Amino acid sequence: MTDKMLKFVKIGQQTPPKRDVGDRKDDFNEIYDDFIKQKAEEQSSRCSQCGVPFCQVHCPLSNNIPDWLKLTAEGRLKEAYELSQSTNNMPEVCGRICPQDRLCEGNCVIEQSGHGTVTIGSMEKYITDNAWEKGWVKPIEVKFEKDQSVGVIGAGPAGLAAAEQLRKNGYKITVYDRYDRAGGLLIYGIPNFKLEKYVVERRTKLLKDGGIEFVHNFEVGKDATLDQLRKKT
Amino acid sequence: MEFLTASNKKGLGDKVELFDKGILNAEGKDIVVIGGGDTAMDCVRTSVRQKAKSVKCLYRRDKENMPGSAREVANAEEEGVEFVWLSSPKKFKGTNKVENLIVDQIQLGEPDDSGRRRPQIKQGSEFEIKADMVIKALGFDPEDLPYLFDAKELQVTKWGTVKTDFDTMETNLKGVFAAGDIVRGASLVVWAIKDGRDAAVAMKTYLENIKLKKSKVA
Ligand SMILES: Cc1cc2nc3c(=O)[nH]c(=O)nc-3n(C[C@H](O)[C@H](O)[C@H](O)COP(=O)(O)OP(=O)(O)OC[C@H]3O[C@@H](n4cnc5c(N)ncnc54)[C@H](O)[C@@H]3O)c2cc1C
Ligand code: SF4
Repeated sequence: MTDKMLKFVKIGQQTPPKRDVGDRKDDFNEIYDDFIKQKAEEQSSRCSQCGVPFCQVHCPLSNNIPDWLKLTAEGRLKEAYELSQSTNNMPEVCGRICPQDRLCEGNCVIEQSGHGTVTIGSMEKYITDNAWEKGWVKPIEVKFEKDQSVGVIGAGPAGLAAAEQLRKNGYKITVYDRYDRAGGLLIYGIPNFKLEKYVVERRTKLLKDGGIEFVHNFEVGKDATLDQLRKKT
Repeated sequence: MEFLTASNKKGLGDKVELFDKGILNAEGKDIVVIGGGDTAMDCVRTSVRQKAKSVKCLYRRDKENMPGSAREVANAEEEGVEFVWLSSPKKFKGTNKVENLIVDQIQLGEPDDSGRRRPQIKQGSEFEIKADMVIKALGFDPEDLPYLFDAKELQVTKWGTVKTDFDTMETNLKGVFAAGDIVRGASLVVWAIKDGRDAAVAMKTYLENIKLKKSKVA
């Protein structure tokens, strides 16, 4: 169904609408509104489906961007979500706060040819936000739990991604963090107007529901040394 | 950084003493933020939302040479932040608390080793900016882990980040892996996720290998 794609010639670039500046300044909420389904399909269809997708090359996670854009343009949103989450543990977070102009979007071929990049970040956010809404985002189910365990120090994005990947493989995981909430700089560094906190908290809850144990207010170095943790089983 | 943490905690409904006392609160003040990276953009835009009287951003290079994302600069400008390009703070003035900031104007000289043009102070060009609060957003250093973790043998680089094997992300301690900002220095969420995933793959291999060894012995 190639006629679905390559619409950049006819359809101009549109990002989701930004909230009015006056409103924005009055609260700490995110400044971009959501795409509606039809707009998302329309914007995805601008992708030129390059043979060598430079967006993917310049995404640190090598996200399969052209494929999930194509699925979105075709209205196959569940498949788009499955594909998107297979390479990224928090697509809706990256879609919001990656500096896309230096990564995927900055290298989009349509951008280089002067048509304005495909709005990859907004699409990534849309696909997974929509999946959350539809209930497609499910906690990990471990069929055979292994007897080996892993301790993760720090519940920032690096620790959480490692914890999730290892849990999928059946290991017992405990995440230690010195703060009272998980998320690291996602919670305590990045301001709400770029990333609202519920987005992070629903991720953490999902990991808990998937059997990952969290120990908060636990500082390695104070509450235990690295050595003590390593000896634990 | 404390400024942003305080603001986020307030947003989550926590009590933050320094904020309530007004020290970390920008409301009604003339704010100056120093720096041109993404953290600086977060500080100016947070100040706007805390109802600062005015918000200025000082950066020693010009707009084209800013490290931060162009999109965030545009968002900040829309929200009423004033950028003072090519300027660098020299000293604070005021009794008991800061009232004014003395600023030098800058010109860009020859490119340095990294190819960026070197900022140079224009002699005698200083001017004053009114400021009730000055926020430095100039990056931060990694924590001293060998000391904190009571693990003197853990190897770190000369920047204080943890040293890892490029392929496996394992540190010099067997079975201890590292990922994210503590390895890269201040970086991005997407790189933290990438590292976390790579470390997970290497850890799985490691764990499977010990299992194999154990079953051979038994
Ligand atoms: C103001 C600000 C804005 C940013 N904006 C963006 C952005 O727009 N886009 C982007 O991609 N990136 C942004 N970043 C960078 C991004 O947040 C980081 O690169 C990322 O969070 C790093 O992830 P991490 O898991 O390595 O570390 P962190 O997120 O720092 O997580 C580390 C965790 O470890 C815990 N910890 C540390 N020491 C101990 C100990 N001894 N015992 C127990 N727990 C411990 C901490 O409590 C913390 O929760 C921003 C950063 C800041 C500060
Ligand atoms: S926004 Fe998404 S696709 Fe683009 S670089 Fe970040 S993770 Fe990759």
